Amino acid sequence: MNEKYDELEIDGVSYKTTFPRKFLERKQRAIPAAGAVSTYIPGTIVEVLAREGQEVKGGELLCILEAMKMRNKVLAPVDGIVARVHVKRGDKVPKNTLMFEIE
Amino acid sequence: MSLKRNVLDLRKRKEIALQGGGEEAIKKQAAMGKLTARERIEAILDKNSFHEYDMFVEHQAKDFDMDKKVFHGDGVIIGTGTIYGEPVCIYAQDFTVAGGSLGLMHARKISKIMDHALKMHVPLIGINDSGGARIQEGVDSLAGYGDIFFRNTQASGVIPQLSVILGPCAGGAVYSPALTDFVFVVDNISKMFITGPEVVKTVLGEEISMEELGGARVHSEISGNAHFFALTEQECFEQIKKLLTFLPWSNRVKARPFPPRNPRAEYNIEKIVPADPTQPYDVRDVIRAVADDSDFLEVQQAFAPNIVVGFGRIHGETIGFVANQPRVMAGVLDCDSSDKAGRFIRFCDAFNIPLVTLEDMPGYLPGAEQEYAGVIRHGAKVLYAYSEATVPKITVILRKAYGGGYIAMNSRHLKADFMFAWPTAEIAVMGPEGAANIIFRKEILSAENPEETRKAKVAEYREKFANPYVAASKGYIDSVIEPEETRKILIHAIEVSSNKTVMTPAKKHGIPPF
Repeated sequence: MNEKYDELEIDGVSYKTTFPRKFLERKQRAIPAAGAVSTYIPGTIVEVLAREGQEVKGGELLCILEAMKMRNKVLAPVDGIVARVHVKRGDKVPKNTLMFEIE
Repeated sequence: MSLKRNVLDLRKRKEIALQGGGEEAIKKQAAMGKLTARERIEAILDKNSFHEYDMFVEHQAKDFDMDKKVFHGDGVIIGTGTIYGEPVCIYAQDFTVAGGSLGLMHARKISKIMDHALKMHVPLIGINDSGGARIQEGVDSLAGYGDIFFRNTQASGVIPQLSVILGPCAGGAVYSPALTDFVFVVDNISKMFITGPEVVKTVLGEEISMEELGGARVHSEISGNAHFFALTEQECFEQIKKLLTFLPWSNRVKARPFPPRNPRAEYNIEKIVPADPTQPYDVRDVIRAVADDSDFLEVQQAFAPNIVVGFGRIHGETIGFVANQPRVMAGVLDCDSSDKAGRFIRFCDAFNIPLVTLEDMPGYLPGAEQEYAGVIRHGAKVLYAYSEATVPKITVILRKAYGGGYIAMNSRHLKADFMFAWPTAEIAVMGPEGAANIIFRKEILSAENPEETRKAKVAEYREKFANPYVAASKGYIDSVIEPEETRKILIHAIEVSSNKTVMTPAKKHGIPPF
């Protein structure tokens, strides 16, 4: 066999093996951080109100996401400081895109 | 008057019905690389064995100008015939007639041949090639699907049911194949999905092609809905015929025995498996080294390849093989491989096919992704299926049998009839490294040279527990065998189990963790 092997560790033991496509392309299902704000529907960002470094209260408007002809308000889920803004006006975003990180 | 005129009239009527959707539609079908429904049936069955019924059935819809349209046979062909001389029931949707759409009479024909198959205890082969429900017939077409699903369920575990997807099979229609035992797909021809690419685009804004959404490769590799993948229709028909040689015609009989044959010499069992339990090999070669003529028909080859399931023969008798595959993901159990094994075990049990399990696995796949996907309830299916099975159950532990995996893979504790182990077997709660780290944690941490102590403790644990003899000393393993003896011992074990009877508690049915 001239196969190239990867390693998989289980209980402290490293096994030489291969990975199928489904495993390699799997979605990482980690619990998102409390302050991570992602799109729940694909659409277009029509307005961004939150700026990096800005202090926000839970429920404050972060941006407007237009999807299926509706203007959706995207609100801050928690109190905190906007650490990162990943979107700008006019961005077309698919579902589950990270838009803001609040710390 | 002679009968001649009536006979000529009959012939003319048949000729018209045999035209199906007409020359133009048949040309279109051919342009898509597809055979017609009748050509498919003839290619699967023994030559000249097909007898068609309900050729003159027509739809009875009146709305939307349907009363002015004639659909020959209402878009489906049903009948009986033989495969290698044995009777089967078959139906094939005819895409050339109204796109193979399913209306009341179309469904009634399918139900008729299903009832016949169940009554006569012969396998059912269903060829799907249909645009879906005939919308003009409204709720009647939904009723038709329901009637078919009900019959699929009634026949489940009584007769083998094979679904062949040779065209679109979308929406509710997918559930008949899903309820049957084996689904066959052909590259670029089969398309299966609940909602098509247009709906996906409208609702989710995601662009996806039909092939990416529900093509043959997707269902063979990712979703696990298909069991056999072929590149051409002809290859698919060969797979169907080959599979049927391994199966009994119903749950009341055993599969026909074949003349026993020795495995081929190129599969030398001594040379396949490395002694080091972290090194990979292809467990299918071990199956081929014990199976008659080294002939192994793998089921769901590309889906969850960390477990291998399929049919072979030992001394002429059909055997269901279940084997961990160290070559892929170290042979771990996970959600997909548990589903795959659980379903296969239940098929074998329902159809009197003895199970041979080849075990070499380090445990379950760790990680949040697996836990969230429900590895607990999926993994439980393997335990359930093995515990419930009353056919002869034989296990050979080749190397690793750790923790929950040891219990799940047809252990003595789930009532395996015979437990064999190679001298390379390691039966323990976990591998020596992990176990030593836990048991000797304090000693390792407080040692002057922790790494050296750790290595010494791992070696100590390995020496004591990483072998088959602890389990053998407790009677959990019946016999530690040399790899070379494996086939001989399997032949014997199957022979002495041939009259196995088990009393199970009376119940309506169990509740497996679906």
